[in-house]
Amino acid sequence: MACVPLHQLLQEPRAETTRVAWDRRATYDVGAFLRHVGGLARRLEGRPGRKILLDTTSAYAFAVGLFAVARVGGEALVPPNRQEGTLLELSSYCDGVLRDRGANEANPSAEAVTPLDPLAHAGEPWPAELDPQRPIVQLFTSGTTGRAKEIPKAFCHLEEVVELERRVGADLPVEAQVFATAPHQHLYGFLLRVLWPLSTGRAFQAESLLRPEELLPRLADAPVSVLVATPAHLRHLAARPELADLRGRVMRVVSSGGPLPPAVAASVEAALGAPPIEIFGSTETGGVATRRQPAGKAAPHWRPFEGVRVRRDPESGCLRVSSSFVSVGANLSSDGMLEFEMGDQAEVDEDQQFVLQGRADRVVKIGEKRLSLSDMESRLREHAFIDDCGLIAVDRSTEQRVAAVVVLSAKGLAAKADRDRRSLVQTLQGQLAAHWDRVLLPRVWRFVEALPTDERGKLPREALLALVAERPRVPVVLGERREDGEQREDCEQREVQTLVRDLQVPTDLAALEGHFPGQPVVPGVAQLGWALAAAEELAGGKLSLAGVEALKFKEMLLPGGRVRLEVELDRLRARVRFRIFAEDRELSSGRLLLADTP
Amino acid sequence: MTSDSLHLEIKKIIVESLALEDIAPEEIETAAPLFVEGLGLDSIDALELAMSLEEKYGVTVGDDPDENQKIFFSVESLAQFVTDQRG
Repeated sequence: MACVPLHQLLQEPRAETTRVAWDRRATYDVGAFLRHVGGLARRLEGRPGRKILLDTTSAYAFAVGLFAVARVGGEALVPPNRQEGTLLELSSYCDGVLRDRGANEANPSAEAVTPLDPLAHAGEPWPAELDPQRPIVQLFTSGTTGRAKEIPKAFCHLEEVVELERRVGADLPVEAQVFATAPHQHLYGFLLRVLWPLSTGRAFQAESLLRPEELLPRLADAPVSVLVATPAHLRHLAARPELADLRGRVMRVVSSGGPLPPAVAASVEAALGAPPIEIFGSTETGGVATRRQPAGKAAPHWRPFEGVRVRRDPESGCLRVSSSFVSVGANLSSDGMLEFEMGDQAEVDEDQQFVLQGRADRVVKIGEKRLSLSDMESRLREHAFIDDCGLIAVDRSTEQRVAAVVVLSAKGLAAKADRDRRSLVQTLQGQLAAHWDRVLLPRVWRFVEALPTDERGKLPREALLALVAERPRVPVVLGERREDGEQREDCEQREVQTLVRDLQVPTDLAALEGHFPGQPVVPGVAQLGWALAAAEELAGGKLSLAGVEALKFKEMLLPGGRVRLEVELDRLRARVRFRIFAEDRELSSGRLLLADTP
Repeated sequence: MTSDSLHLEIKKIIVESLALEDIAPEEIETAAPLFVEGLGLDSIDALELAMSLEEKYGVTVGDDPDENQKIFFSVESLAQFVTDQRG
């Protein structure tokens, strides 16, 4: 397909009746697109300010808004997510907001500026050649360290559609309808589901249907289609037997936004006859390279797009990318191209093809959304309940999730003692929910007395992983001493072994759950368990309990403090005696009867 | 199966398949929203929950996004959906 340069789309359009996009309510052709853009642009022309927030659920409304803003010399800001905090922050330095009907329904919050619906102002077309060098849109990405940063793009940075047509669109008829699960707010979806179809004259699905049950029947209705997907959705689609019925209809599947598991690529190949085309790139660099993983073979190296140069940074091992699509970075070469160092480490061979070796920074992707763990940590530390925290991504069934290890402040500890753990977790999640999509919020929370930092002041991944693996069931042993085979000067000879342990009782002990809301106390049965565990260590094997002969709980054992546990194993009499002290006060004591002589 | 025991069974599926911490199945309110403002589930949970329900009851949701949003609104609506589909 020939590509119309993006900056000439309003000037040299295709035939009026060429389909541009469709949703459940309507189909939009080139004529409608030009009238929507023209009408909205004239409306914007009459208003002061040219910085416009583009908050739409429809990819078509997004396209109309983008070209209308570009037509009046403005700049569209595309929110990285639709969380209220993000939208509020962005709209505070915008001159206007474009929001379609769907977005209004989903988020009817009050605005300083009344939002315009991009599709409500259709008028006369307003053709013009647009400036390909002037930034027309700001995308946002979570940087490697700090807050989300703006990434400006001009049409010239987006002309990668020509390359996309070469790699993705080759032999694909113009009738192929573009379906997508990738969000149009992210560069991948923006390029593949909006700009590439616009430039090549193919029609795109304006709404996002993410459930396989909603998407599959629509794909089955389309004679020829291409699917612009993300790995998370592909994983669910690939599990559906109906996918195989679409062979010959779904001509191409594209995947980007995160690594595609080989098993998913293989399932798609088995169902549709070809593995997905994977695109590797970033908001800063645009698309960098593609590959296809054939079933049963080693994944091939990534092959850069034409005009894209890559090299490995000798120090960081990260991929450095330069091309005319890179819109931020260092200006190193004389040809005016920018070079950007990505957060992905790579090995580059002499043919410029490369293998990825993982992220160098603390950025993770969950549900295809990029999250800087450092960024979220600094937000969490701002909370009055928190002294310090460490975040880590952990594997859960089909996706990764964020886990938080938190050191509570005095205020936080008081709050935790005041209400139950769940409402504390909800409060902390609430702090983050204003800024991040829900899928990025920590799902596993551990409250500890101190972070397991090493001597360099770093948080070792393994230590964090061990902490989040499960809620602690036993206290931390700070020190212990044994007295073996002591001969007592009693009337009878008893062989008694003693173990004395200094214990730190975690505030996050699993046994505290429900015991009691507002007043956490270590249950007696948990204390018995600690004593038995210590006795088993002395016995060098499992002990089975026949009964409890005497048990006294003189004072409550509160979490967070240090206690001393003294355990005696009396082999001859098959007894275990234990006492728990806080400093010199005895908190509890007991004598356990064992089923057998150890 | 009475609707109460089906409600509890679905609550158990939610807690187990999504590995929710700090909440017991019994604590989930039958009529409260599952997503965002209610139990706080998200889009990844939605897909996983649909898979678990299909495994357990052999039910699949239809192709109407608005209808699916209603089905996944609460434990109550999910139970209604499971009952209807199983006839």
